[in-house]
Amino acid sequence: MARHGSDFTFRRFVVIVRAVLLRLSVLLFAGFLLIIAILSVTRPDSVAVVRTYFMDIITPMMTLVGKPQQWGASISSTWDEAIFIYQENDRLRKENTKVPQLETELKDLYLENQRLKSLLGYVSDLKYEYVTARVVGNLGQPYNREAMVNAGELSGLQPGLVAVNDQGLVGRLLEVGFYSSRLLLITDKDSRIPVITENSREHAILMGDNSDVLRMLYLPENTEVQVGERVLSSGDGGVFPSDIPVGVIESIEGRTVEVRPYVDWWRLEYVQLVRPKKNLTDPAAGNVARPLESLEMKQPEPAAATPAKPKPEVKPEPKPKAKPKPKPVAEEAAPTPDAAPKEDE
Amino acid sequence: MARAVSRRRKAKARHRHLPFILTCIFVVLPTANSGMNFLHDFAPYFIVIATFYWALMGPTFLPKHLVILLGLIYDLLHGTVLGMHSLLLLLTWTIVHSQRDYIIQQGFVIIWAIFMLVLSVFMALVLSLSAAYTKTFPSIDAITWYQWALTVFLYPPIHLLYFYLQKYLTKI
Repeated sequence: MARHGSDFTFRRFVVIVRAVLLRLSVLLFAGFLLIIAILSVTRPDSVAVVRTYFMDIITPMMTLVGKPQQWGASISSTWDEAIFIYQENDRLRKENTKVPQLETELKDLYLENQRLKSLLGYVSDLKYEYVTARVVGNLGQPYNREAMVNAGELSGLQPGLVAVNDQGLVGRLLEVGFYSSRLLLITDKDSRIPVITENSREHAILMGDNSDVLRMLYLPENTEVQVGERVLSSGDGGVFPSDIPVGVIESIEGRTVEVRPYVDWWRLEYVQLVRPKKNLTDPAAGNVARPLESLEMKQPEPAAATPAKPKPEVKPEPKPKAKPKPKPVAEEAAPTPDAAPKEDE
Repeated sequence: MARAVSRRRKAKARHRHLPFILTCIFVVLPTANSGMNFLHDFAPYFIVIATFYWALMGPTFLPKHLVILLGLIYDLLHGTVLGMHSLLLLLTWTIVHSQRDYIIQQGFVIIWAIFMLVLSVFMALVLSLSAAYTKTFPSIDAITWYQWALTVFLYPPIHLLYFYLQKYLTKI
């Protein structure tokens, strides 16, 4: 009897606890979420880990979900191309007649360029390599401008790398997962880019505000910038490489200068992520390099420039006249690791 | 007989999460890169539609914990403060659910108008919290208006879709 009584009391206790928990569940959930939100604001790094794992999981799904939409878009573009195929063919034939002449000119210019470089003892400043990634998700919404790309740590990416495409500067990497990364676009309100105007050579900071145009900050009062002038990255601060086209000045009203980015955000499909070369002498380092980069010949530095540590030659110049000073054979045969950072200086 | 009942229960349990899965697809679909990226800017707030409908018409199909999960997925996907959308969705769910008996008796137009009101408050809160986080003044631009209008105009078809889904789920 007593046992039955204790069972009843326990059951009653469980029912009461359950009822209280149910009534308080909203408050408990809200408290839990509040803690997460506070953690997200105060310790963004801890949340970034969760976010990157989530990105890695969701990226294949987003690629899959985007496929039918892409097929639809490609069908419509193929249809457009089919309509104008005869005109396009005619235009290409005409252009094709000029190709051999252009090719000869290009070769001549290339050789001339090489000769002049060797005369000047010019050292190439190509210190970046590129990783191409596909934009699998556009996370644009009224409060931020971000995109997701299908390359991550396994492709050698790291936060802060700059993204460009054939039109110009796209943004920089914010968070990097194993297979995917989150990209902060230059139009995001948190984006700041040090820039220089092409003709007037004015330095400024380009700021995004979640709209399609960018604003120039810290221009001098008597600025000479003009509408239609190109804006390039200045390379100040060392985050963005210099001379990447960013946009064109669209309007000037008092001290408010608006810049229209070159990138067509509506058709952003691929980006190239720019990373510093690890070792210029190592041919494996430039695994996804541009074709022109492989054409670039590394020239020897004049001996006077580096008297203490002579720089080893990557590809010795065949003309003996161009060499300012002949170097010992041993140096050429065994390049020291000091050679790589030298190129970056 | 017992086997048939058990099979039916299992099927019901399997289909129970269909509203959540469908809403997840609605959340992910507009963010996928389609080559027509202008659509992303005007992506409607499907999560608010789903939360409002299921809190009103069938709270057991999209309970509180799934609403929270939905909000977390949204925050992780869009890079907003983790927990912000979950918290606001939970608030929406609780308020709508508490007024369920009154709202459910109204006609569709009144329900739609109430949804408009709920969405406006929800978006105003999101805007204010985002502005507080970024330490800026909250401003409503054209895209926010488009997003609001699109969500409002998409409510009737989504309501209908969820209605038929609910009908199917209650039948099995």
